[in-house]
Amino acid sequence: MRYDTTNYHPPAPIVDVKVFRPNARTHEVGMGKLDTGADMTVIPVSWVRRLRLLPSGVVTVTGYDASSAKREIYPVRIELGRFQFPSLEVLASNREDALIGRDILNELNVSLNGKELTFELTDP
Amino acid sequence: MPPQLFERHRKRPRERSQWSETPPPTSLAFLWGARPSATSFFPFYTGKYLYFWKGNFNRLMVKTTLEVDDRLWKKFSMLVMRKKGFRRKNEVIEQLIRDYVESEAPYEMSDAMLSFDEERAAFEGMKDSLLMNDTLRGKHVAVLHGKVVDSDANRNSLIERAYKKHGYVPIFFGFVGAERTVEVPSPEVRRGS
Repeated sequence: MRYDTTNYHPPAPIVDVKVFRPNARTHEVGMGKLDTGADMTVIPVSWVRRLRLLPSGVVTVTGYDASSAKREIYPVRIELGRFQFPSLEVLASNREDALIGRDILNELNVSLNGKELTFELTDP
Repeated sequence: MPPQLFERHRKRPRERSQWSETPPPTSLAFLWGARPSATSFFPFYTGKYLYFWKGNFNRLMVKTTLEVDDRLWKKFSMLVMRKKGFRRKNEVIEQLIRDYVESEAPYEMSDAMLSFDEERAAFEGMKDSLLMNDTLRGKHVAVLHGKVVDSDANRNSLIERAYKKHGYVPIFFGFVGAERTVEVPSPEVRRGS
């Protein structure tokens, strides 16, 4: 898989992501940026609205500048290419793409080749 | 008698009301989806608002006062009278408020979010007592209608089970222990900035 050099500067490893409402077929499709720094996956708040997701809990989220805030988390089912994550809680943020955090990445074998701007996701 | 006048003087149908002995609510969260749990025959006045149960709709209503320009009010009254008939101003005002809330906060202020906040507040309220409970300490609990309805050490199993049993309704899943903190630290540079 190749890095997205058009929409991201510097180029970023992007995957197609499908987010489903729990126990439903209703879903949103979009781009997900692999983010090994994120503890949790983040989806755009517009998807939350369109899917009419219900929050399941609240967590304290800290950002890069150590600022922290309480945010709702939403249970969803996620498809990342051919990989399925049937039960996962995600954060929502005012952004256009999703951030694929380590809650997903730690379930996979991720190899990033920055020099060649390619990456691989496998399930060993 | 012309039909309009007949309408104007006709006695309004009596509503079967339920009055609550519950203490006056302090937040809007209590207004939506609230159900009377006890009955008495007196409305309650908080010094600012008069609260009462409207039996037909089985929900708590609030009576408030608005200060509006006299000419504007007269124009409004005439328009409502022409278009909707007598005694319809409340209905129109309530719809205007509803439209405003829907347009300004279509998601955050939805009934579901308010219910979720109520469940969350219920969990926060009983957290100390849950921490004293040896069987629940260190577990995740599902809170629905202000009560713990299920618990599990595995959060995902609990969520799945709770939605399966109760449907996809606002349920708060809380951890009986230290709160979770997550890091999403990646700063991003937008093109052109």
